[in-house]
Amino acid sequence: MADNKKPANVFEDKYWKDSILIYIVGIILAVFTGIVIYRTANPEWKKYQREFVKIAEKKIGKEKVAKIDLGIRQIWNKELMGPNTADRCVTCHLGVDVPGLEGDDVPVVFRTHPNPNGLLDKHPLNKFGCTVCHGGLPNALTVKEAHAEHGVRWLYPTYTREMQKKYKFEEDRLVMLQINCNQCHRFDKDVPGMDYINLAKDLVVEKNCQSCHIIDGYGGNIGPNLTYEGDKSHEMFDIHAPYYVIKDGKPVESGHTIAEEMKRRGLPYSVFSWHILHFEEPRSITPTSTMPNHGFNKDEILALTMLVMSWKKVNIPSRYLSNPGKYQMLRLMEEGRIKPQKIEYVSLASTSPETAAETTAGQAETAEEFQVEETAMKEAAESSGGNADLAAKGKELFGTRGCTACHTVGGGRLVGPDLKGVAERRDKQWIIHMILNPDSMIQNDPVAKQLFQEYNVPMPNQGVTPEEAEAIYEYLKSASK
Amino acid sequence: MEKLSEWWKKLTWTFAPSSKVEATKAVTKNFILHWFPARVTYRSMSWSYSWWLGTVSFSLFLILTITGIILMFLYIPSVERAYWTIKDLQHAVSFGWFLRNMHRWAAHLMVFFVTLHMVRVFFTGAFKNGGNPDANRPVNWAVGMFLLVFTLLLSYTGYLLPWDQLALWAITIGANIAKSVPVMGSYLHFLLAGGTRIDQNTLIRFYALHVIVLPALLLVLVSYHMWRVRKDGGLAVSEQYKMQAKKEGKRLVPDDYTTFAIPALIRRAFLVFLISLGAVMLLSIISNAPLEEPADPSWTPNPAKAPWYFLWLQELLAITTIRTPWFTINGGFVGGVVIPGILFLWGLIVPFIDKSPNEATGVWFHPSRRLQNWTFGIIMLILAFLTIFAMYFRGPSWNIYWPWAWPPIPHLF
Amino acid sequence: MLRSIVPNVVYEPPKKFKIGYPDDFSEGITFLSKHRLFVIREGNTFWTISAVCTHLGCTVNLVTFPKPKKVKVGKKEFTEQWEFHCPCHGSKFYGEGTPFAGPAPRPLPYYPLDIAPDGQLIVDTSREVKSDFRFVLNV
Repeated sequence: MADNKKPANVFEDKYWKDSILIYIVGIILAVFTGIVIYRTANPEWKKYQREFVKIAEKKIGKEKVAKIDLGIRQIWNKELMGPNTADRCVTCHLGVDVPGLEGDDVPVVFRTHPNPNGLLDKHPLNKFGCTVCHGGLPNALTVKEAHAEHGVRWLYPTYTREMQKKYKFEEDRLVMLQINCNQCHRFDKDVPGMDYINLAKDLVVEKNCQSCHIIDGYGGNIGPNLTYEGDKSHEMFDIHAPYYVIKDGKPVESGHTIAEEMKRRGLPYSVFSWHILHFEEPRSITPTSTMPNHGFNKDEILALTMLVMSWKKVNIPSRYLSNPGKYQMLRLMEEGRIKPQKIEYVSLASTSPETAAETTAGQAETAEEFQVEETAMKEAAESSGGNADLAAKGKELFGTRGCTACHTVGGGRLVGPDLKGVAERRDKQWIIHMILNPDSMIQNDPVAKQLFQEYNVPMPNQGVTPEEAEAIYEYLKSASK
Repeated sequence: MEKLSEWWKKLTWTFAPSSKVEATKAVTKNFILHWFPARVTYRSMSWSYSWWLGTVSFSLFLILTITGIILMFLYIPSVERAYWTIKDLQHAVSFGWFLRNMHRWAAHLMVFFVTLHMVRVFFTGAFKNGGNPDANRPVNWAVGMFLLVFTLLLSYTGYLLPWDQLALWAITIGANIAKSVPVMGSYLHFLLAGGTRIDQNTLIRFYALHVIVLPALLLVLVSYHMWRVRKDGGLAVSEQYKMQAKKEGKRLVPDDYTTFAIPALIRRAFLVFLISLGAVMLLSIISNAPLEEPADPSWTPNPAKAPWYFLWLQELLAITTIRTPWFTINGGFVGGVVIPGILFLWGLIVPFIDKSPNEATGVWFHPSRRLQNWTFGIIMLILAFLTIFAMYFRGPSWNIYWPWAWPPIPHLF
Repeated sequence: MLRSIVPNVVYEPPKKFKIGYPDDFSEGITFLSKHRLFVIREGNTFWTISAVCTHLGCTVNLVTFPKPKKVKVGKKEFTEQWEFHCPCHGSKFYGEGTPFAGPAPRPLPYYPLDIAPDGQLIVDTSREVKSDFRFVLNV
């Protein structure tokens, strides 16, 4: 229509360009939708599964591989992991329960799960899952999240060889996961496969840590309660406090912080590193600490750190616990239903349900029984005429009351002086007072004060009773001969 | 050839009215279309006038509703299960990652764009009536302020649902801000928390608020908001035509200054919706929604920061504790209740105290409103500055650091 | 009908609870993370300070000093071996609970301690006591 005047009813579309824009945006949206669909259809784990099929077929043949289910795979044990999550590690780790995939020619991720000492027979995969031992985020399906690598907000990452390298373990096997073993095997000793934890537990007995620390609900109160040290949040460790070095036996500010010390050694900023530094030299972290430097070597430090990080409150049904009776004892102690007492660790080899019950029953479980035992002990002490008996009792107490933490008798100077011949150097009253009230002696007695200047570590009050002090004195006297 | 052009016509079919009559009648023929007016002014169609921010906001709300409804099938509001359902969404649910990312990005963008929308309306004086006796735009502005608060509340109740550390501590702090209100504080805290501790009762309350109570309120107010726009005769800038015509002594003919809403308005609105959708999709593809550790009351994350749209509030309540020799007032009250309360009240009454002439209606930065615009702009800049400061310069323990020099926080391993 | 959403019953642990035997506590300060509580022991004297920051409720962190610090609170002067720093907004409290930095308006509350019939220490977090509260064990 070439008229000048427009007919009245003609519709003129002034914004026709919008239509073109809609088509363009529509195409862009279609591209985005395509990307979304592609990404959903090709998650990271599918890549691993394809890779697995290729490698496994070459190694064990197509027939066997065809029997392996693909897709999202999970191990779900409601008792162990709760109803809300499952272990999906087996989506990528497809070879763990497939025999024939051992060896260096198979990438670690696809390898058959090793079975040292019949481990898998006692901890079947489809019952225990993976994360209870290995750590990590159970129901994640990407490597980064499942392993809870740095950056992922999950407190318990998978223990990997990379992690072990960072902490300077000189091991090719995965040893850090012994930390998790100890959640169920806390009250076992000499467990095959838990060499680091076993070593640490032996050290705890040898160095008598319970003389200053409450461990497993029982012990001294010089240092903090370590029963659930592994549950302490990272917020409770101040790594920006100054780091001290020991010069001439005294702690001196190094000029840099604990964090900087970690950085210098190439250690990660972690609670694990904190414990490493602390076990190496307690006063480097807390200069006023009375905890002695026991001179632990590298392996011992790593083992003790692992042990301490493993001490957590566990939410595991008792069917899964080794020696559940001991866990029960710990709980009863916390509830105040039995008196605090030392829980003996039991050698795993000897643990059949019967022996476990026996050893547990052997320890006083009720308040009345405990009282009876205590009274009996007292009466025995009072009635013991022979000094030899008293000295023998004193020797035992010298160990169990924590003296060996700092003193030897004839073994040289430790944190405190060698006590061989002390009964000849000092009179009985002085020795008894030192045992019963070392804190006040250091304040008021000139000899004690001088010793404190020399050794620079205050002797802690171990809460020894007068009868016990008598016995210890008898032992020291007899050991002086 | 004939067949081909026939097919082409069928494929590229578009609802373009073939006549003015058809265009006018279209609004009565369809339930959705009746929402729109028959005609719309050219100026209100302009991109550079309104930036279509209101439409963007509503589009984002639609996206949030749709993704939200789907998410309701996949999320369990229980303190034991909530975190794990979110984890499953990230990994094991088909398109779960996408749904969650879309929901989160749309939420952040909606807060951003409703704020921008408010800023636009203020700077263009679009809450004024411009001499139109039937209009009541100041009321619509007040409704808009409530919509802003509801949007913020929806965002707040939303990020509490994953029950991760951010959620737990954000609720703890929010409930304690309520507690800092004198006289009623403890009771408010008790109501919000559903008890004396932040626990399952709290989660289910916020879930109910987030999925039905607040969206329903928002929907009702949004409907009123849009109805009001129509009743006021369209966007404020439309008043300019009448004023101009009056000045020039001309008569206004609809064809001179309006076009048909069908298809012009709905097509452009649809385009805006698609662009919003595209932006949300793009962001969802390239950036994942974060999740912190499962909620644990025994330790507080360091630093513990609110999402960006509350950082100005967090900064305020950290610095506004008033100490005098006779009494101390908690910064939670001053910075968390009093200052936002004053800002909100001032925002509500702003159109009623604006004495600028009608000529300033619907005009960007009209010189007669210089004082108002500067005041508003400076307040917005202060809030923006507080946000940026709290985001980059506050590190662990809320101490001040250069953004590149935050001290490390240890992990467990 | 709206009254129905005001809770009458809540499923929460009791406000009065046992925290263990006195002998389980070492000299100095111990943090009970489950209860968000610090327990301080000096010989046979015990007292507790809440670990909940009085600003907006975050859990404060314990910061210990190798050398004791002398501080002045009001008119009293005393030495402290630790302080409490809150991670959320930087509030800092002296060892006896008074805030000296950051937005916290009130000192950290003290809760009363007693001995339960079975010999364990028992804390009552439903009421606060003054900062001079001390519980002395009858040994």
